[in-house]
Amino acid sequence: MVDQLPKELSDEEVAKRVQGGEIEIFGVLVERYEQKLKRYGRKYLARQEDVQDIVQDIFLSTYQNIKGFNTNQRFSPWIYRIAHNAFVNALRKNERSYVLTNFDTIISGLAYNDPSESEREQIEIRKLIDEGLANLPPKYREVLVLHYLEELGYKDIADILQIPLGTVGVRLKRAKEQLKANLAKHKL
Amino acid sequence: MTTPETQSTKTNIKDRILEEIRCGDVSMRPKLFFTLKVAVLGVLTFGMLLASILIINFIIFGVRTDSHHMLLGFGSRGLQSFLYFFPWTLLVVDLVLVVILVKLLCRFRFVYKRPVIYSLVGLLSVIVVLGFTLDRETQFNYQLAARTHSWPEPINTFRRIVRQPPLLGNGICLCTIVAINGNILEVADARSGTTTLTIVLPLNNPYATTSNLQLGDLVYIAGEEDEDGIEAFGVQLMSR
Repeated sequence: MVDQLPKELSDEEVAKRVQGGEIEIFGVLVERYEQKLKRYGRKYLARQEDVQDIVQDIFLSTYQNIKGFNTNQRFSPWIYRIAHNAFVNALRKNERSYVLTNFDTIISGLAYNDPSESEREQIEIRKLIDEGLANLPPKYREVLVLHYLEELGYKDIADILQIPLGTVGVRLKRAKEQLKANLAKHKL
Repeated sequence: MTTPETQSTKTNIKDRILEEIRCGDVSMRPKLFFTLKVAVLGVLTFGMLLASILIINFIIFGVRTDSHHMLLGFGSRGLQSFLYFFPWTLLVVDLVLVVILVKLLCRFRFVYKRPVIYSLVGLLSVIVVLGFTLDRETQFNYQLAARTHSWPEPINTFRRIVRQPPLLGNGICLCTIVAINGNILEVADARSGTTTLTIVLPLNNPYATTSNLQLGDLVYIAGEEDEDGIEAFGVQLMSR
């Protein structure tokens, strides 16, 4: 039944059919998001061994809660939100120092997409992320991964992390600065 | 490129999940669950908002009916006394409620999309305005005072905290003038009804003067109290 699905069926349409009781079609969502969520988890968490189990739990949680998904909204930020919560919980277990309060959401800057950032710079930052992500605090790690590796926009990231748009911009800017500073220090 | 190993893991995770779903180990939560969740959150938020408005209303009512706001007109010593008598406990409880409220509301897009400070300031403004309106534009507090025992316990506790009259000996009194001798007043203390206090006013203090006072005036007095009476630093005519 799943094989007969047109490939262009959107995530939201698939989710709607799962809500309607077509449980087999849920496999399509698993196929579409498994690698993305694993990559997100591997970059976000310092410990790699837990990712496989956490991703499985994310899909199970997605299935359990799928009737709470509004199919008029985009599916991608919704599943990434579930993943974010799961990875944050894992971080809390592993890193006692993980700080819950995000003071940068109290007063945030203006939201902006950096227009001066060329495609070449984006490729460069992706390379830097691969090299120096582990040394960054989780909140900076996460925005870099979502924006540069998962290629999500500011609005989607704001929905996933449930933070103001301006805070997304501020975190990305600080994350890039810290990433460059860390790498420069290590190369010296 | 997908390696056979990753292809195998890929199949495994998908198959494992579908197997768990088919077996019934995992099932979809019904739509009603999510509707109820939102409803519970809404009721909780509304209840906390209401409690927060009531607390602010009691604070305003308490300060107003005890006339402690008069202290603000008695210079720096009056300000110190005002801060001393202010029901800080209730204000702290209210601020904690507001912070929890903002945390609850941050689940909604229209709230988390904006900086938290906007929500905090907005919510506080709404609560203060509604609390003020409840005190000044309705008979709610007077009706509450008349029917103390019929209200649930938290409300009575809040009321008790703000409605405690200043204790004898703390330098505050709402008294009726029975005699004026130069800079010395004899007053009947409204707290006990029968006690007569001697109030000594300083000679050169604009906040404590007998020039506009008459016998029978109800006055609010603030000062330092000892066995002989009160050495006042502020006197304010309440009613004639």
